[in-house]
Amino acid sequence: MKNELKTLIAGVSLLGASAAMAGGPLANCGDGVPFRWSTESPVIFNPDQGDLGPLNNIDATQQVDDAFQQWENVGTATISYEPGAPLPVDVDITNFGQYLDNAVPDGLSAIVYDDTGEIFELIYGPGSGILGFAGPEFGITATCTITEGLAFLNGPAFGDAQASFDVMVHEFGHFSNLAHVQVNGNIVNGDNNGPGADVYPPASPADLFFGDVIETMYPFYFGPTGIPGMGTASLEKDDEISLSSLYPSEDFASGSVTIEGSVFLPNGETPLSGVNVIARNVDNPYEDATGILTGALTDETSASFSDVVGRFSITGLTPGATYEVFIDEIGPGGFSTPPVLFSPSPEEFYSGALESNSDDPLLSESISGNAGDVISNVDIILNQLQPGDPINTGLFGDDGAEIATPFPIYFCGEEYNTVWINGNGNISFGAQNIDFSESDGDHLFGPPRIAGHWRDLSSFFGGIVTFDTDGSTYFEAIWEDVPELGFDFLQGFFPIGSNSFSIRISKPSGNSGPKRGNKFEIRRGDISATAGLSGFSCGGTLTSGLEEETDLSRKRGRIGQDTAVFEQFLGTEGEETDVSGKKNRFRGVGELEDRFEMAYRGEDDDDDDDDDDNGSRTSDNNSVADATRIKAPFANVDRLAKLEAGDIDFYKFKVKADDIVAIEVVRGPIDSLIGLFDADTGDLIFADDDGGNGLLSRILLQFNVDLNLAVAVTSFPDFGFTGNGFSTGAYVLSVNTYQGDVLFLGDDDSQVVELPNGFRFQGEKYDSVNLNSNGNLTFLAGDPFGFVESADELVNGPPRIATLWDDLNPAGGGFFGSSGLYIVDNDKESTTIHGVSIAEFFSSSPNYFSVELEEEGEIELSYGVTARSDALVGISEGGGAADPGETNLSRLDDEEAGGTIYETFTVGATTTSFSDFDLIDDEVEFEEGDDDDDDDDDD
Amino acid sequence: MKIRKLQVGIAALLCLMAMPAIVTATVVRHMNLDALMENAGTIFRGTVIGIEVGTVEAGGAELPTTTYAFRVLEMFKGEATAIKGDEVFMTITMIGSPKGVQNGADFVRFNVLRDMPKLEQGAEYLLFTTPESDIGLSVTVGVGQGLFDLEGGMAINQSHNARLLEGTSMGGPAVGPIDYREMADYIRSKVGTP
Repeated sequence: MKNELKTLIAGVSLLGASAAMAGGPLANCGDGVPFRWSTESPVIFNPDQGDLGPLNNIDATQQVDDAFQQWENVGTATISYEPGAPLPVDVDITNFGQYLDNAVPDGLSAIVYDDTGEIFELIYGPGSGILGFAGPEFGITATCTITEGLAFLNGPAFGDAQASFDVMVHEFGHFSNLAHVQVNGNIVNGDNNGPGADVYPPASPADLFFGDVIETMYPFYFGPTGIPGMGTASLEKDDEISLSSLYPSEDFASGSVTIEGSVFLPNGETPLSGVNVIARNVDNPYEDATGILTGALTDETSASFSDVVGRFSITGLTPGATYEVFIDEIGPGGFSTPPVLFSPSPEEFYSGALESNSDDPLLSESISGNAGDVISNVDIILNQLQPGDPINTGLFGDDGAEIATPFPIYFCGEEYNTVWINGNGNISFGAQNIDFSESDGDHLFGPPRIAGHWRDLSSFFGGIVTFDTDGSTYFEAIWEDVPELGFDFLQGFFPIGSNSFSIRISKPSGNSGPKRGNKFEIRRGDISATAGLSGFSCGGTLTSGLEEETDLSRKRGRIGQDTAVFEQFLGTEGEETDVSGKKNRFRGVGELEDRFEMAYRGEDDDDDDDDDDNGSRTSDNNSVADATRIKAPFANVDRLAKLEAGDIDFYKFKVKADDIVAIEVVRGPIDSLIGLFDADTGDLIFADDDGGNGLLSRILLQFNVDLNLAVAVTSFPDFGFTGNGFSTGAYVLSVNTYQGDVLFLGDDDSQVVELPNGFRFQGEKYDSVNLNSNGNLTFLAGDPFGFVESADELVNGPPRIATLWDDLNPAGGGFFGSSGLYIVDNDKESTTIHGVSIAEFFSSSPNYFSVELEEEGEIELSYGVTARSDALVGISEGGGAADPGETNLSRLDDEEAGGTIYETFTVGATTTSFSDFDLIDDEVEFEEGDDDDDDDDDD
Repeated sequence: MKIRKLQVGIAALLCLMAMPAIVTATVVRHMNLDALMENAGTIFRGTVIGIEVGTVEAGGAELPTTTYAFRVLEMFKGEATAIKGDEVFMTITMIGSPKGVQNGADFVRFNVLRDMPKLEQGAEYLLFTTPESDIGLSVTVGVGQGLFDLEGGMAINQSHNARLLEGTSMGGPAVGPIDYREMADYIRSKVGTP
């Protein structure tokens, strides 16, 4: 028997790589209202004309009909199905597109038979393992009605007719708008956590496998085995209840018992969605059982926005039967709704009046009712640790626990009622973080976080991770004497040193909590770890990735509101932890306002040319008329701009005839969409969706007249520019205007650029310079293949001006990414060469930079937003010059443009994810050199 | 007024907007680690350094695609897209797009291609990808099964590694994270050096 079981399990298939909500509908129409097929007439499906792998067309269509019939047979549901006309064509590799990705309804609910598997192989590549997919395709929001569905079936992938039938029944559950459930399947799949086979022992273990107890909509497929119970073709009680809940017959509710309630966080007040609630008949625990996720009828997760967050309702229970209700952690299976982790809350029974955050998880109050009864307030409160209890951080110390706080925490504009205390020295909001490798990138783009001392710590080897609270005024996450985790091959894992620190959060004062955020402190005792990261971040939704480190050891008083304030210690010389025993106090991080929509009025809304008018405004910037006035070059590097729900931001600026305009959303978690308008007429001139990095946008245009322009920043698919985009979050907008001639350079390319005014460099007068695509200029000879920047090459190569010397690829699209531009602008006294939206080789993150060469030798390097990658910036006479070592260019003061002066920027120099490039939105000037000295050199 | 277009197209679709519904479900054959290796055209560990959305013509329609560019940190199987100096690069193009789908004036459209894995820029993954199809598309083998997050020296795929090691000669838990180094050694022992 043992070997037989193993063979069966090895044949398991995953149904639904990332299906939507479990135990409820796939698609919700409105809050508490799912999409449904109309039950006034049968749902019409349209089978393919061809064969389906092992099945000829007649057999395949019969099996499709039979699979739908399985659902139609549910006596308490009213949905029915009927085959309509076959699809107009035999769908194959030449014509499948119109069925796979229809933009508009075609009146067909296609059941596509990929007889040869060619379609699946074409769109997924060979060997993907994908057997099929299905779901609703179109619907009407006004009536919350599904109007068309879709299924693609991979014929050759089915081993036999039983397998195809099993998969069809499951998939047509999705077609009917059912999501996955987890009731019995997880016990069969080895779940031994919480109430399972130990509490409800089957007559024999084999009954679980062969007793036909696995729900059809369970995410894993155990067949085909030839044993009916292992397949998914036969519906279980839960499947019938799920379908009946969507399409109830008149007597569904009146003929059965309904239970309803909520699951709450340990504070007993905050409802929690995504918890699997199971009801089992204690006398028939596997055949009479059903489950549903709390909050299945809403896509919202906060009770502030929906009354059904955290709620569940189960109809269809057997009158007179005795049920036990418990919460069950969702197992693997591809649920797109992030499963709620029960850490440290155990799976637990509903215990009636004894429900609390510390009740016995195995204490159960049974529920029984008569037909038509609705038993309400079946509420379950999650258990949690008490102050002072050690938090189990696991063997490696990376785990943690979600702890309910005694008061709301307002952080970065969001309200939280729990915090994750992560073993590695930080707390995070909204999501656990087990990352033991601290980095600035993860800090900025991960979940909102406060890091006391983020490092690979392990309380498994010593110390304690816990929390404290007085229940009303403060909450404190504590790491006390926790060592770092070391490893070598001789000793294995071992503890290093001892670290004590805490993060103390105060109760918000008065009504100012949401606006100002809770004050908090990082309190440090002795910290032996020389490396680590300390500070806070609002996470990827609000940070730009341009935030730089702050020296926390020098911070006095309360630290103000920002998207991130942090310091990373690399543990290298000069980069060791220097905050041991020190405290940082933070004012709180509340609602971070869009700096371009703040309620201040237009200081300097004139048309002068000073530099102070970037961002001045007269009202909110949600229309062309109310656009924020900016002046190119513009980039909101230090000022937050963000899209909120229903938001759109306009910025206006002027261009002159022949201006080349580069508008780009260079950073942000949004799927941006930008529109360029004539600010005087309001006419849309141009729009771009994905022309920038990833889902970001870019417009490069040249104008032949003077114009007042307005650029709108919104998100896809707000092509009407009304603010109805899908995504929200912070962004960085870059707007630049240029005059000059465009040069198109390839990867590792070089072109000669004439210098009409001449240019004196290192004592020589030059009439031309070689523009190398890798972000540098060389004299006397080009250097197209110098894609590896180095000080050695700088001093030994030709005379060079390295504006942003890196492996740049202005051709972009030849390999990957969008093309950038070099623009050469000659005026009476100087030549300026601009690098416009040029990405590193094989990257799509843009760089903006310029170098101006004045006739008498002055050089000005200027930078917009860059990718913060590695680079070398500087000048050298080359030809074997001595290397004087690096110079901090951001502190350069009237340096002469002679000899060798440079700085290298390296990823990992001061932080782990970005380089130490600190010239964004900055300039470096080299003054004209001394002719006499240069002349001597010339000799 | 004359406007010279230097680059970039416009997609001017004017429709009513609403958030797209979450729909569809894909059925995937379960694979253990050996099967993932066998079916993969390429196996590599890499960092996502670029993401592009696009389209491909297939089956008489323009289908949405997403291309991910990687800086490869460890190559186990297959050929790189490009090698420059010491750096190895790879691109993978999958069907589907991280973008939502557009609804019409009188209908809502459900995104039927949403089950494809979504990778994050800057994140590091271990990927088992199918060989490229004739139109350059591939996917991580078994969808989420062939895509491993790497955290804390551990690897876990989007199916929580459920029964990943069953039937293989690599020992480990039935479900949950496994040691990446052990896994890498195992892969190397099976597929050799690319």
